[in-house]
Amino acid sequence: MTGAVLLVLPIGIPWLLAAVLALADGRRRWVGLLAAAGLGASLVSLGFLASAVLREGAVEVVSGGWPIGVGISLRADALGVTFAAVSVGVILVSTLYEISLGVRWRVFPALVLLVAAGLNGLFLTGDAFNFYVFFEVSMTASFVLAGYREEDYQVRAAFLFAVINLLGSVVFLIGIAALYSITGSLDMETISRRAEGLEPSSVIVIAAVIFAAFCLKLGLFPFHFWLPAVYVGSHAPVAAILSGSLANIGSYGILRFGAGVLPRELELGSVAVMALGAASIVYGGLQAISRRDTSEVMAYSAIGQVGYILLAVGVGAPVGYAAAILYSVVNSLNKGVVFLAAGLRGPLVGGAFAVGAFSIAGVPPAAGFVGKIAVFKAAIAANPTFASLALVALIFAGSALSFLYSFQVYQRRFVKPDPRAPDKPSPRAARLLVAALAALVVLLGLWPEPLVYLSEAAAAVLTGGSG
Amino acid sequence: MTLFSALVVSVVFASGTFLLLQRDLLRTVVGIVLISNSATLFIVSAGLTRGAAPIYPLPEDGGVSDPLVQGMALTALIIGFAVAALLLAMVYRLYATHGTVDAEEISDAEMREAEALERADDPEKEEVPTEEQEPEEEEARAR
Amino acid sequence: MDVAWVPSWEVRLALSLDGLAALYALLATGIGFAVLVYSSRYLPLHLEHEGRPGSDAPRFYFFVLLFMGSMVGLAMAQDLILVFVFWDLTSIASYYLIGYDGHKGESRASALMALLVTGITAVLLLVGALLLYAEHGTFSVPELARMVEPGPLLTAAGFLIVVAGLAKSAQAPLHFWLPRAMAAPTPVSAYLHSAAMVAAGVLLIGRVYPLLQKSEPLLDALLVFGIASMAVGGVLALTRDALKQLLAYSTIAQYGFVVTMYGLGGPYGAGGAAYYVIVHAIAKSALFLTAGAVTEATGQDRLSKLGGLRGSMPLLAVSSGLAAATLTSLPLTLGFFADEFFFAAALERGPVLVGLAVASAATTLAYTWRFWSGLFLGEVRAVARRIPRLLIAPVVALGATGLIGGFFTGPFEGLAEAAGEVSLAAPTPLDATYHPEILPEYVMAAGAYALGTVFILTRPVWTRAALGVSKLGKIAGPERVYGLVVHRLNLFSDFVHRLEIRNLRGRVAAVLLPTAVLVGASVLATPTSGAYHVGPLRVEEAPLILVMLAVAVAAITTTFTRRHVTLALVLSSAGFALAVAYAFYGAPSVTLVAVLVETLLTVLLVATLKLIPYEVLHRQAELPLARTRRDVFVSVAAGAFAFVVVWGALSQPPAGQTVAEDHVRLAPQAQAKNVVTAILADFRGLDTLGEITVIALVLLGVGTLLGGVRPEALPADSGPPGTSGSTRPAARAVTQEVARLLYLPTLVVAAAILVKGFVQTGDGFSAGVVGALGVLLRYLAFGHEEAKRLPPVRHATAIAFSGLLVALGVAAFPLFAGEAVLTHSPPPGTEPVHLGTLELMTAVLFDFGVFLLVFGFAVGASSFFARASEASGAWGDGPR
Repeated sequence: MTGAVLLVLPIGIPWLLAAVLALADGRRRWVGLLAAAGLGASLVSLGFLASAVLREGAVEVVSGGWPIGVGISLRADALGVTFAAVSVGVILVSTLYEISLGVRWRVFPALVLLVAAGLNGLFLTGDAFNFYVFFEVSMTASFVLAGYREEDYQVRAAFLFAVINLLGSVVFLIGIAALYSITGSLDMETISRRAEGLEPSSVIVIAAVIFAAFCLKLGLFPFHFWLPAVYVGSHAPVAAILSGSLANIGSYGILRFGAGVLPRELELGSVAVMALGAASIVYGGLQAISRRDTSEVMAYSAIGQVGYILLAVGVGAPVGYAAAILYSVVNSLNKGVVFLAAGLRGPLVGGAFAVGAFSIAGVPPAAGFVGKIAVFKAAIAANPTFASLALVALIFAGSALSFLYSFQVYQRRFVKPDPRAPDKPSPRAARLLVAALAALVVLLGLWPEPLVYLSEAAAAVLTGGSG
Repeated sequence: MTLFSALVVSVVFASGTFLLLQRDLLRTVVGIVLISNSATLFIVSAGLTRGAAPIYPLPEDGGVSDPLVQGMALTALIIGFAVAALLLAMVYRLYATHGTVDAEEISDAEMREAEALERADDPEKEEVPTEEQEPEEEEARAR
Repeated sequence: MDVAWVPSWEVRLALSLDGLAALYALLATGIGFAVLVYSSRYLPLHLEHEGRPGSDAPRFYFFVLLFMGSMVGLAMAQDLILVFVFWDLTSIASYYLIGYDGHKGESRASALMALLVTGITAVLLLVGALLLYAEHGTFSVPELARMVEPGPLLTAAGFLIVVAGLAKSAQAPLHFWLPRAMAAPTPVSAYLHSAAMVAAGVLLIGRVYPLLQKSEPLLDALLVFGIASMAVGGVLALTRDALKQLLAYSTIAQYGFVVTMYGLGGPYGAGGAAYYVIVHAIAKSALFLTAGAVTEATGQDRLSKLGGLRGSMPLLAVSSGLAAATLTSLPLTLGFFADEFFFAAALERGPVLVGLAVASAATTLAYTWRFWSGLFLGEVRAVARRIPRLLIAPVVALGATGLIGGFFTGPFEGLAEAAGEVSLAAPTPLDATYHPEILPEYVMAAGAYALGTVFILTRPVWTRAALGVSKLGKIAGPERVYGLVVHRLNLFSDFVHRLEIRNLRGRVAAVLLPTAVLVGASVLATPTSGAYHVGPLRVEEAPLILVMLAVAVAAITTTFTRRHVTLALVLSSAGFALAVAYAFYGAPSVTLVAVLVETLLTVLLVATLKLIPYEVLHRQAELPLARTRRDVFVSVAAGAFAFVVVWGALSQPPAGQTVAEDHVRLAPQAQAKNVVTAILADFRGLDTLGEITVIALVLLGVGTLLGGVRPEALPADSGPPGTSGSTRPAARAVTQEVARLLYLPTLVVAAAILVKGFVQTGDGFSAGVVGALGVLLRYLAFGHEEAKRLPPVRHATAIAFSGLLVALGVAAFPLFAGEAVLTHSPPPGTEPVHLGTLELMTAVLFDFGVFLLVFGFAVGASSFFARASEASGAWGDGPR
């Protein structure tokens, strides 16, 4: 298959399928399974795309066959494919999970498919405005999804989620329009080239608002206040999709627009980036410790975990970007495991959650330790020495906090006998799924080379692209 | 004109954010609509050329206005409208479940639920080992 | 074995069975075997005692085997990352084994403590390894040993690794988790203390010893921690009443010996340490298993409740006596030489260390005696039941090993020498034979026995002091610090949680303010001269300026409008003013859509207002508009950052060519007269696809939120009477007639807009909205009851999604022809086939898809709102 077709498949399959399935009753099992099959096909095509990208470099297609810039260029490189694969993977597992519990909404399969289509689109586009459009596709789908099951608190969370994130979208849109206004192009590579020739003073303000929009998406302190309510309120698979897939928009966006398009501005602002990351690690960790609800602990944990990504981005250079990518991937999987496990009861669930908790704390063989190594490596590579020391100390403190909160809640929820708990275990299929995802996390910890290789290839895209 | 456009855009944006900060959820939606509008206005005014409508036959004397920003503005406008419609539906839904469109009252409901959760159990103490209550051998023998 | 594991990081799966590995692997499997044999009898009793099902047993064996496997792996690992992995695996195994009785709070707390202390310090090991890697580019211990030079880096990295090792070996001040870990079932305690977990710490020190010994400060640190642990462990072991507690503190002291020996260095230090580990493993596991057997037999686990068991359990008494003798280094046991090597190493460092060594050995004698005599001698305090023989057999075997080893030291000596050689990177000849002459070591040993005997005999004299130390430890010791830290962190977490912003307004402000700060900071960070231009205000732009002023005024008016209907009107006037502004900007397409969007939005807004009872809205309208200083400040800050970005961007038009020029140039090739339409349907058709997908999504969302049931699912006569058109006042008749008349024409107009789009202003979106307006008019005239029977209303969702499918199909079809996605046909430059005025081209089909979708959306969304209003009428005024 040619690259041009391969590039379109991951986006097109879920998109078309969503348009078809929107009319079917998603509560029927076959509809859900068909949607899952579509997600699976999308994931498989991403796998082929990844191997093509790693073999031959970035694959690019301009829509309509027009010259670059005139048409929208879709561009798959290692960075985008990595994020897309992880995000779709988490969505796929969450969808299967919900199917096994019983889908409650007719439109649920269409919504998850569109989240996936939008995410794949934004990870694989090379056009800044098109990024915004795909961003809105996945966000709008998730606004609706956040209200899934329609409990009072879920509708409330959905509204909160929508309002805050729309505000972020508008801020981001202003940033994109401003980029066009100063460079005369929407193609990311062209923007990057032209922005290099401009005075930093006119670009950095734009970089600041774009960065703020992604921080909001990522749920970074102090942009995070919407996040706990939404993650706690959402039904488990929705929370997993929000934290394991959609949050990736933030880290990907910061990497793509910061390190890829506006590297000079990122470097100018690296102190701010690291400061925000540091604040997030400490704040999220502290908040998480005494929260009662498992999902709430993990929501605050998510705030802390993205701090590491920011630290690594702030350090910059291939080692920093690779660490940020690696950590994002691992963090997605962790969040998928813990949020899904938090929604279940019965055998295997505790074990799966424990794997997630060990991964968050960075204990091998769960994959989290690979991320922690990468982040430590980045911190050690930072300049000057005292900054490096401070970063190492901070990451150490953060992981100490993560040990405490992960296992306090693990013991409370899964080890301590709960007299109020219903004896009936959750459906076996759901438990097996979570266990399988946890097994994947362990497998990636036991054989981390693919992850490491992929993250370094993806980081090379960023540093190679910006010269 | 540059400064003037920027001023108008930011005034619309600021008005929108002011409405977002109100307790009335409908005003929140209106605020979102306004800030979307400010973005659209900015996109259109960010056009790199000004002139006649970009429709063939092109005017011979002068240039045409930037068609790309118009395309972007249209897309942004429609997306903004669509999500505003979604927000309206959500507001109605919130009203239907909470009986109010007041953000404060709805936040109170959230706080009540959160506090109920916090009160539910006081778990952290038990994860700290209790003070070692073990008697020393001598004391134990004495008893 | 040495294969690449993570080649990108040069991490290798390097395992090698060298001397050190052989020693610890033998211990882990040998003692492990004894423990497993013991467990096969012990565990069923334990489970029965705890009232747990037998099905919990496999879990136990799984983690014991994992423990064993990871210890063997750790022993053989030559790569620091691999060491870290196995290291944490032992922590995981011990975590689950210590917390095996998870239903007990004490057990959970102890497991957590062990995990936190050993897990968090393990991160230090990782940091140390990475520091070394950053400098030398390898994780391999042998390679590092060749490369490292003494210096601050080695000291720092080595210190981090040593701390990890000491924490795992339960050395003061990180020793407190070990006595707690006694919450584990007894076989686990035995294993944990002798051959796994705690042994892993000194194993690590032995493994990286080639590096450590290059740094004097590190050796001194080892010495200090070792001696402190000997003191703390020894003194506290003299005070404990619970059997396992006593043994736990003795372990702390004994590993203190090992650490001290490493600190002393030299052949007797490094080789002797290895030898000591063997002795300790054999003796200590036997003593633990003894404690378990005794507890199982009597039901008691405290010295104060036990005594005089020599009669009822003679075999156990003798065997554990042998083990105790081995531990206290009595002559003719394997343990004798352990102390000899210790003394030999101490002798090289002067009298102070000699004194300390003798005192420590004497303490060992004292508490070991206390343990053994307390169990087996004295008056009978507890009755022993018969217990399975397999609970005693391992003790017998281990005790016998201690005795036999005293005569055949060869194998043990060889093991220790090989291990010491790995650590020291030099031969460590050990001499485990009895000498006829009086060596200084013998004198020290004799002194230790004598002093130990004195300790035993003068017990009442020092008991108070020892208890005082114990009390002090409880008040200010590290365990108390741990508890306080955890507790305070929880309290602090509650405290910060109360500061969390948890209302919508605060959350909005918390987005805007940091953004403003970021933008402000970036303005301050860069020179701004020349970045901003005022730009001339030209007279011919006066209309635009006036309209823009109107926009601004309308926007400001929204901030103090009270009534909702007025607010909706002000909002729409702002929107219409904007539409006019777009016209002056030379953007008629945007104007058209803006007008339509504004109309639809106003309709939906008013529909929502209608849905919510007047009182509820009125209450909001009556609220004092919270023009608090905070709100004003936040929105001014938000406006300010928007202003800076917008002004900055507008001030810097690009120097080079813009892509829009290409769009204008290429539009004819896309068969379009209107460049904007060409952009929407062709150049940037992907954006349009995304945009209509958002619309489709909103339709799904609105439908779900406003009822969850699609209109066609609703029975035709379900509406309450009184809302249908037939009962409306007759005055409506005219409107109704107009609506009926206009219904079809609007669709025709819509079709015209659609077709003409490529030539003039117009596009699928506008066509869709216009078409929908016809349906909306029917709604206004007839109400939902009548309108919902219209085919477009019944099938709105289907129409919308078939539109999406059409558009997606047009986009995807070229792929089959091997062309880029969204390539339209006919290709650029070819004249399209005309069917009347209709041009047959895929771009038009694409636009038709957009039309269908927007039409379906506008009709569908309106009908959802209308139906909700009907339903809310049925419910009355109150909420559901």
